[in-house]
Amino acid sequence: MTEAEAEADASRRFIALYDAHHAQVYAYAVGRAGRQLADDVVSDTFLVAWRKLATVPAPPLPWLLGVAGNVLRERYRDEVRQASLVAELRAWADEAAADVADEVTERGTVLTALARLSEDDRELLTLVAWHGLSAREAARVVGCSTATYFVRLHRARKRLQEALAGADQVARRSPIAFPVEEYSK
Amino acid sequence: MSPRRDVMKALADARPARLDPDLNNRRDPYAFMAHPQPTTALARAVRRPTRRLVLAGVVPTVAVVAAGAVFLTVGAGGTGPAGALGAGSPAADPTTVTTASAPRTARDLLLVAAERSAADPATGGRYWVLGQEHGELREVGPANRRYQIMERHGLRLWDAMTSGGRSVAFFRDLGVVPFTAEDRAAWQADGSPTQWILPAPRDIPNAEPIIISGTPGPETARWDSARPTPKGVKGSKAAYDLAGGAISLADLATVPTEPAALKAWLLKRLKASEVQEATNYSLFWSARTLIFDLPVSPQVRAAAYRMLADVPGVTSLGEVTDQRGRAGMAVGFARKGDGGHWSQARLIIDPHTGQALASESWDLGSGRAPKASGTLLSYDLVVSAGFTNDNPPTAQK
Repeated sequence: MTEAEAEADASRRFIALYDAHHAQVYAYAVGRAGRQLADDVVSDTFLVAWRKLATVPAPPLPWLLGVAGNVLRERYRDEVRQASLVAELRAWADEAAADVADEVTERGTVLTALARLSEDDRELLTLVAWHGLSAREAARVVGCSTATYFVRLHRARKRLQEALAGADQVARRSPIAFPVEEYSK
Repeated sequence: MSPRRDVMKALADARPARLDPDLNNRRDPYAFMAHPQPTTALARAVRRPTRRLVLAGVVPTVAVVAAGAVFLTVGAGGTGPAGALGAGSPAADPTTVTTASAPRTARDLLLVAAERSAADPATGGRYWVLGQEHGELREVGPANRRYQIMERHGLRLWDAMTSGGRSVAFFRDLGVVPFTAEDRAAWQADGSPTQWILPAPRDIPNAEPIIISGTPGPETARWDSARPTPKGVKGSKAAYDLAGGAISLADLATVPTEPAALKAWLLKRLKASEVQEATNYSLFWSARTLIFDLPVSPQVRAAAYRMLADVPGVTSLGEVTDQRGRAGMAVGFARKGDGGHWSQARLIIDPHTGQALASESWDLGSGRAPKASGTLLSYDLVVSAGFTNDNPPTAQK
């Protein structure tokens, strides 16, 4: 392969990677750090992907989300990310509360319960439920074995169920109490 | 909710719409591909050598500033804010022009620029203010009559130089203009569109078309996160990128002010970097970054010019004007590699003040040797640069 062909090949591979996964990386970034920071996280993640294109494994999504997680940890002061995330969780609740249809009310309840979980639990749950990863792939994103992931997912599910049970006791339109540690971390 | 219902299913159904990106927010993948790739990975980067600002974690196609609180401490011999660019700018001020002793070689120009830069009395301030405009040419239009449009973006950076200050970056789409008179005629023949949709790349599943909007937009402000601090960089909120890696404001203050020491210091960083190589081209880019982008002292800028004067491969391009019509002199560095094409990075300098006016990227063809004149691919203009003690403004409508 000539240099020009290698470059053309790299371009094609990168564009395919970007087109296939940028929306998923964006969704993950929103869930971790809010829309406010998501664009930047996506940018940084794909910049790393471009630079390390030759070593991106297949399937690439777990690797990309792992990079996005590193970008979040390394580039943002925790309080900046937390503030953005709290605003995001509020926006979800507002979005759900804006509609009165039953299904949407249930969404609101679920999102409220989710907002009360720890960040780790939220990530464990949403990697599978929202980002379409298999348990094995999700385990790679969070950096544990598949077996450990199942155990942690099971506990997180239980806590979500408990939070949901608690949420049912609360009046439907009561303001959402966000955990204090969201601010103080 | 029903306790029997599977909680994971309920969670999946509750997925917020906010997780999906806005369609018009999708970045062009070529913006990433403009960055150099390590040669060990694959062949060199595609298309253009332009690499700025994406590194800072911001939108890549960025740049400038409309009028406003813009201060120049560089130029015209002023000791402080010297006024808005335009009539009073060093580049546009005819009184500072003396044509008698125009430098003839790249080396001469760079040494003169070094001398003028070192004479700048700027001493710093609470904020480093940088206004830039970025432009990028694109080919659009019907197959039988294609034409070139210049897509332009503005950036205003207010980087806090103190630990208590908040940094902010303002971005704005400055709209699109047909590049030449001929392009304008073709654009009118095309029905004077204000939006273009480039087809999705072929052979790629699920690829989306690229949308170019031609109308200028309001400014968007990004506080704090404009230049996020990478891990391990301490001492400042603002982290910059120089010679293959991130550098804090505190470390930027330790950059050598003597050309040989600066060169050794840059080479050491480049060798340690995963993403760049220690080549003459990298030295050219590092010097360009110091001169063009970063809040460094006039002494560091002067050292960068002096170092550049002895980097092999830097050529003189003589007297030129930038994309705002400001007169200056240019040096260039050409290299082959972008898809078999020769690309040339140009740095346009005002020899009377040492101020860098513009950085341009040119295509010099795919021949055995670079062509003497080529075609412009993209540009960055410095609209304003300097320190101020003012507070950051708000975004402009």
